[in-house]
Amino acid sequence: MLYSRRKVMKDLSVGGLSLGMASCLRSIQAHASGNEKALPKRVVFVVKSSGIDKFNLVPEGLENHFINPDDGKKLGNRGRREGPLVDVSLSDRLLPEKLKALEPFKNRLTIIQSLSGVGFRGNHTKGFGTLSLHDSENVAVAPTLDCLLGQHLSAGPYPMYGMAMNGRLLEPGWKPEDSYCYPNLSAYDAAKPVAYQGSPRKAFLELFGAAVASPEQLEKKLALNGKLMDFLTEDARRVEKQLSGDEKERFALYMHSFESLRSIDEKKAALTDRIREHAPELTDRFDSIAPSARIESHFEIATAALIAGLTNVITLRPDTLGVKYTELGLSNSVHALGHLQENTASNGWTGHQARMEIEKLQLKQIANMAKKFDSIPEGNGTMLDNTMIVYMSCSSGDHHCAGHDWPFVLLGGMGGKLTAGRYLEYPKYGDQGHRTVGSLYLSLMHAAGMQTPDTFGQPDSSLKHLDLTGPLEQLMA
Amino acid sequence: MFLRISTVAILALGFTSIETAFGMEQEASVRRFVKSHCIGCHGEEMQEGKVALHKAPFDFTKGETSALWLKVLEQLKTGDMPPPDEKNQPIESERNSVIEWIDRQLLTAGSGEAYRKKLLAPEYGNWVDHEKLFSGEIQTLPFSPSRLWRFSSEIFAFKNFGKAKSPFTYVTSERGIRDYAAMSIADQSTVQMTMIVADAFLAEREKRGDFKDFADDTPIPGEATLQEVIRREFFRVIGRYPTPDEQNKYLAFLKLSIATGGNLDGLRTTIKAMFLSAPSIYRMEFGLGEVDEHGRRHLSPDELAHSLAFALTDKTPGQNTFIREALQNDELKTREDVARLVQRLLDEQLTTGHWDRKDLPRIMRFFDEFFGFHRAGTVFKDNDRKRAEKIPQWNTDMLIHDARMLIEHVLKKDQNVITELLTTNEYFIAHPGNNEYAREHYETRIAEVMDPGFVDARVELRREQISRDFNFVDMPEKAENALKSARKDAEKTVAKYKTALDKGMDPFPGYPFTQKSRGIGDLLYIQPYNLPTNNRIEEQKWDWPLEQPLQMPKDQRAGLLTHPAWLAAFSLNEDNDPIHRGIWVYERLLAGVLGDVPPDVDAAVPTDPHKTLKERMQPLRAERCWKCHRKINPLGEPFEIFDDWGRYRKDHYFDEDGKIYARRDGEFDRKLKQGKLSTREADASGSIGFSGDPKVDGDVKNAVEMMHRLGHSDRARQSFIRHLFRYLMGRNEMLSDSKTLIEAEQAYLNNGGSFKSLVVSLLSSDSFLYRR
Repeated sequence: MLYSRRKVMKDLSVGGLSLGMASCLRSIQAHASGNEKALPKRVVFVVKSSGIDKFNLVPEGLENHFINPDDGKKLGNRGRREGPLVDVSLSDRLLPEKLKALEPFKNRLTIIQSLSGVGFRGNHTKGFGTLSLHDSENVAVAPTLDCLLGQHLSAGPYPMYGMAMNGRLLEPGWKPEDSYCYPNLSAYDAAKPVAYQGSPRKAFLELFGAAVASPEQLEKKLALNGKLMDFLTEDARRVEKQLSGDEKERFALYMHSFESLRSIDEKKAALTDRIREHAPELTDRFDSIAPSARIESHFEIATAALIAGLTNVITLRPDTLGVKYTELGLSNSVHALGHLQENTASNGWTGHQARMEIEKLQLKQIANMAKKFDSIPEGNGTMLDNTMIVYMSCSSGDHHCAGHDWPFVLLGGMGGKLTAGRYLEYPKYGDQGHRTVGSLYLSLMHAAGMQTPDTFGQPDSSLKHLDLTGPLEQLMA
Repeated sequence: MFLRISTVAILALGFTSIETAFGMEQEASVRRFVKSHCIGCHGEEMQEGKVALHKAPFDFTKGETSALWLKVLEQLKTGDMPPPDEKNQPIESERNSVIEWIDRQLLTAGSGEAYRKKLLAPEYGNWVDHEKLFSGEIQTLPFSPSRLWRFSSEIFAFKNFGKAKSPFTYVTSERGIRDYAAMSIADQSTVQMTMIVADAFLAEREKRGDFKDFADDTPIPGEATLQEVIRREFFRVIGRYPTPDEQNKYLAFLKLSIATGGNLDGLRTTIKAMFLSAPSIYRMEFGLGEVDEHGRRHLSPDELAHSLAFALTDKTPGQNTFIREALQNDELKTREDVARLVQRLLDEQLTTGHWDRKDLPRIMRFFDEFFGFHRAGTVFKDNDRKRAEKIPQWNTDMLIHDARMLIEHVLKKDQNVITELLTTNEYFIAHPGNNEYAREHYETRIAEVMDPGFVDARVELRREQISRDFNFVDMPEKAENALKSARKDAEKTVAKYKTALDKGMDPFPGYPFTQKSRGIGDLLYIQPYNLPTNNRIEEQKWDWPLEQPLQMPKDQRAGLLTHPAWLAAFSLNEDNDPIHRGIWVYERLLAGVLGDVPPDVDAAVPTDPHKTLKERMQPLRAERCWKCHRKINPLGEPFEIFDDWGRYRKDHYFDEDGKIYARRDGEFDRKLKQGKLSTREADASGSIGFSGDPKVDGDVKNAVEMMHRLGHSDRARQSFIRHLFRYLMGRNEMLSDSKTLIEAEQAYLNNGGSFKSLVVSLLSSDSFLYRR
């Protein structure tokens, strides 16, 4: 089956849509008709390396359970003090310094602390376990949350799209990746890891190529690609006949990719006008290898891709442990900074300060993204009301972390399904009322309209005495 | 194990009633096993670890049943249950029969899929019973499954696609064997990336004018040109000429594409199809040769050529003279043909080639991936520590080079290779490995530096450089200073050489990067060997031997595991890593099985500046940790005679507050002189267990003693062979590979511990030659 752009346009005009493209355009129609329930929902995961510090994430005026009350110093990885559930509004509190950039969005911000995700081994990372909640650092053994959400939410060509600074987490001679890479974060299923694009330029050409091509070029490309996929599918079938069992199963990944690529092409063709309208400007900054420029480019492309409807779920990997933020005056790598603590980095900051400044740099991009979404009307609100940006780390709450206190910063909304504007801190690991990251993920899935199981990910055998089923009730509207 | 399962499953189809009766009997015996070995702690009265088995369900169609029995399976496989201190231990056959029963129930119920997939990964290779593999009782004839094996990124690198980056990534752990057939996938992202690779490659070629005949403003090229372009491009992308069938198929597609998109895009799409086709992504091993009476299919000569080429090199068979010749001369059909060719390849090319592009690069890669020393540079070491602990240069590249020279030397001798690698104290340090080249360059350099005209010649050379350097234009003063500094440097070099010669030392000449050796700048990095360092200008302090290997103190170094490169690779940022060292020894030399780390484990070792690492690790001796750690710690702690830089040490130092004192700089010397430091002997005691040999098992006083005992053990030899098997076959061994492994061990032993004989045996084994 081959779709030319002309045919797509014709189909559009007469309403004879193929299934794939019908869903692709659902969001546009829903928007036009003001049908709030059918409005698209989107999720952006920003998964930094080296942990998000917990102790400087507490709003002013609240008791900080992550510092030593005697000397005001940060406690160790597992050293949080005991305390009951904290569930307070942010509206009349000052955000911690780190989150200042999010002040304008305080009513749509949720800070969550002390969820646990324990049992996932890894060298400075939980790897795939970050989003699948399995012990799965390097080999994917289960689908990850972003892929599950993407498959459910995305009507566009890509179920989800990932962009990363680099695939390798610990690399002494670091430089940003110039192509696809595997940061070991996302997987559609066991042994189906997702490659992330490292190069902003290549991501642009892949996602917004239509914006820089003529209609004739696009039509020809579509026709040729269709023939190419037909040819390859036929060719692969002959090989498939000689396989059985596991081999056949693995080969299916290759064979089915032609069908997916064809579908991506068709869906992209249907979105040509939107792609043209919302494509970012192709600039030289996309080739810069400075970490901040690359992060900015990734956010810019991600923002545009979500607005254009190319996907509904994006995962960004803003840095790795090898990255050196030289533009902040730091010659220490993210990894080295993780070990500094109170000691000073190359520019005189303490390790803690340096880590905070890096988080601030990333949070500024999140704020810009939110601002852009908030400027786009959608239904009775804005696009931000239907887009959830999740800021988190693959190493939970510290440079080395077993995952007993895993912080999350949520910004945006899921069509009113989740509460917002709150600081939520759960009781200490193992205490009554303590909850796990699995429940947060269930909350997001639930809000996205998915049928959810009772639990998500592998169970924590040390928490058998607690009821950990279902979403976080404090978060559900 | 898979064979055993599938055989039983097949039998079950034909003998249902027998199987049912057999099954009931088995179930009863499992109940008896559980009753006598498990429910004491996991029963009605006590539920250790919150696991109860007194009412264990037997209905495997339910998820929770499978999950529970999988836990039991793991405990039995690892030998962690019943607990080692329990007097009433099951005999091996009882244990194995319960393991087999659980395996079979899972398979029949179609559950435990994740478990079975997990077992395909290299880190689970040891889960196949070691004693059984080498017992000689397994009579099944070996084979490998018919398979597709996605190309490795190393093979991709030699496909000459310009700057294109490999679309192939490993999902295997970076701590072990990387290129595994069953773990290599090509999915949508691989295909998408291959398209990007193809686009970049085509753009480059177009720019060069390679497709001029296909310009859009010219008529469609004639049939002969179309035929030729298919042949040429297919060879370029796939590495062989197309079969007539493939030629016709691609020709038809080219014509169709030209009709759809014009000449140029039609051609580009056709070449893209080649890039994305299965033969471009996968190595295919179906066994297209003869079928034997057991239903096993022999690899065809062409398949053999590819499998051998990719077992030893990263290139296609056509790019290796010996393999190409054997194929052309029709000498690649039988086991004897293969053995002869592999022997010839190893005799002629074992260690030859450019230092960084060996003729048989996969040989050294095996040692890298088996030992893991090549990852030394991935462990971050803080600069402040380097200064304070007197490591003037932390050059892991050079440590890795030194380790590789040691291995090459052992391979060249080809006698008792495994023992030598694990026990030798003959090291190479700052040496190109080849004594002939080392001397040749040394003599040239000495003659050059000792020539009375050396200093003037250096100054003249600098003057000439300056005259061509725009940075010096119209800057006579700067140029004059640069010349002065060149003179000073040259004079210092002469003085340094003279001093060394006067002291009876061979001056270290430095080695440039050449075909024969990597560059070796100076002796600044050699502290981890407990040797005194000097930079290019300083007086040489170490009597660098021109002829190497050199003898390291026998009581300090024994083989690769006491080499700074290995010790660094298995260290932490700020200390040793006894846990991973122990795991390495247990898994790679003792073929030991470890269970997955329990999900609630808290991996933190308590900090206490007054205690040594070994003392701080005492909490791991608590009952619930020790169940696993008893296998690991006693094998990792003997390396405490080294610090995390790889330096040998006898003592730990403590300051006046009783805190560990790690500095080794001037401050250390001062404090030592002032008597402000106290010492405590480094406790590196440990013990070997689980070797299957009472003469090997037992306490050791440190790593040197341990390596000598392990290095001569049967178990270490067999474990090494199992890992080499995995590397060459690209998969975990099955019980049916028993014959291959036993024969390989015999070949090794019968030829005086020859690595070459071992490789020849494995690559001409049934496991390598047959597919089923």
